[in-house]
Amino acid sequence: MNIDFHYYATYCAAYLAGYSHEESMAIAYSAQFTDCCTRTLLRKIGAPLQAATTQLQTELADAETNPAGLQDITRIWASFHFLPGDLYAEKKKCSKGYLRKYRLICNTNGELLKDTVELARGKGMQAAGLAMHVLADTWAHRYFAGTPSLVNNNTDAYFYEIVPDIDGFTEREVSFNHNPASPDDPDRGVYTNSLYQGNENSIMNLGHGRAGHFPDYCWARYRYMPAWDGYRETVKNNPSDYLHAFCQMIYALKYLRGDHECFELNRYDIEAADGCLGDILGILQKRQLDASGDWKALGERLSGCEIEPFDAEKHQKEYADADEEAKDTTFLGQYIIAALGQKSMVTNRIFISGSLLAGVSIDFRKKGFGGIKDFRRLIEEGSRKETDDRHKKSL
Amino acid sequence: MENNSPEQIRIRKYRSILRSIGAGIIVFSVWSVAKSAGLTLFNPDESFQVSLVIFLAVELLIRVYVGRSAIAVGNGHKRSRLYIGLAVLMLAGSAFILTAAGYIVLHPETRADTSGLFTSVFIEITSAVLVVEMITVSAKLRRAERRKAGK
Repeated sequence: MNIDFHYYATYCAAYLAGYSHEESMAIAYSAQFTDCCTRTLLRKIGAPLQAATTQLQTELADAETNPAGLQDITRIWASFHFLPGDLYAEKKKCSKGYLRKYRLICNTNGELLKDTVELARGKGMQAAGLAMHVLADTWAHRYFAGTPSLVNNNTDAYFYEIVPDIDGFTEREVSFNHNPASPDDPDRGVYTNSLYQGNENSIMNLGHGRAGHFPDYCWARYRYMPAWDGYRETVKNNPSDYLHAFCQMIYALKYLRGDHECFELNRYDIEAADGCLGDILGILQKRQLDASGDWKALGERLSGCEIEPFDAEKHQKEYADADEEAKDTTFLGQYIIAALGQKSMVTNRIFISGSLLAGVSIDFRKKGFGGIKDFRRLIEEGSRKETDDRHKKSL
Repeated sequence: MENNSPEQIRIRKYRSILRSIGAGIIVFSVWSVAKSAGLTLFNPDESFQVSLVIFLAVELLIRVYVGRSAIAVGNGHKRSRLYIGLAVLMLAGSAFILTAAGYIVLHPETRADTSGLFTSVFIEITSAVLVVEMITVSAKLRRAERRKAGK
């Protein structure tokens, strides 16, 4: 998904869920910031590098694909952009090594999504925004895995775009090129994708790289053969999926506000979007590379307030200038805590499922702290919260 | 909207294999060039060189044609059966080379140096396996497509 959905559409969903303009802005900002929070940025502001939620192309080009490097990549991409749909999925006639990767394939309404949304409850707007990014991406990135894997993520010549026309729909072969400087051309059906690399663990085989940016367009409808599905074809209908994502975001945000007792999978708050469903469908089906303008207009019409353009620099100075003790209370400090929490949770779940693809997870309650020191902040934050809660109760 | 009948899955599988094999056959033409270039360089006979270059050009054309046809069929396009016939011809060529190699192995006195022979045999066998695979998969694909069409 792009900035149009992660920022502007998330704002609309938050506002429809009952948040104020300011709260909706904070949620939308945090959702979009997940696509900006790279190690390069964190290093610049002096933040813990393990809080990275994405990687720049230059960082990926530099990334190593040895087991430790692959674990680092998987922790980032599986936790924030390709949330595994079923960590206990079964597949016949395959090796254990393949099965572990197969289980990382992203899909909607998995148990990990429930864990993600529940983890964000009571943790502020930053955690809510981050969870909305993860939730929305499960719809756009479903069927691709957040780990480099040729056998799961590869695509081949069997890739057809389903284009609406006057009589209904026509199909045309998608033409992929590998020039990152050439913009996607929806009129001609030409898109940029990553280069074919026969190496299973090549960075080129990460996520939907082999399908290029195409799955991220809200209007895209396509028929293709996922490499993991034994020559079975899959039809992906993004306008429908993105509408589901939008309505599920409203439902999840209502849960985070406390409107629902528990978060249930496969629930979509269509009623909340009822008044603007026609507008939303119109935006989702309009073939344009960036729908930010349309979503912005809709959001401003809903709230009557101006939605300022996304600025990744906005909160960086506040964090960089804050004292060491006060950093965690800043806007980005809270975001970083939420990111570390999400990464830790997903790594833990993958580890418990019997896979080392995202690394080792140590149970703090049983064995104490161990591993990457950046995650110590989670323990400090947890104990601070416990102290606060005890203090509130005593009052 | 999805068509995932067993027949359709088989067709997709055969087409995918044909695309890979087609590319493989074209790549193997590099071996033909290397082999013939080596023979030309080390044989001073001009008439031999000329006939070899003509033979090489024909072989190269056949290989590229067969490979491209396999890829085209893999992409769902129609092709006449000529490429199957030419593939059988390629197979006959490989069989001739392998028989000659076998003769040399059994009668080492006919050739002084047999050190490069095993490489040649190995590559020729691999190439032949590819061609056999292409012929069988093409036949399977044709049958599957007929079944699908209800003929």
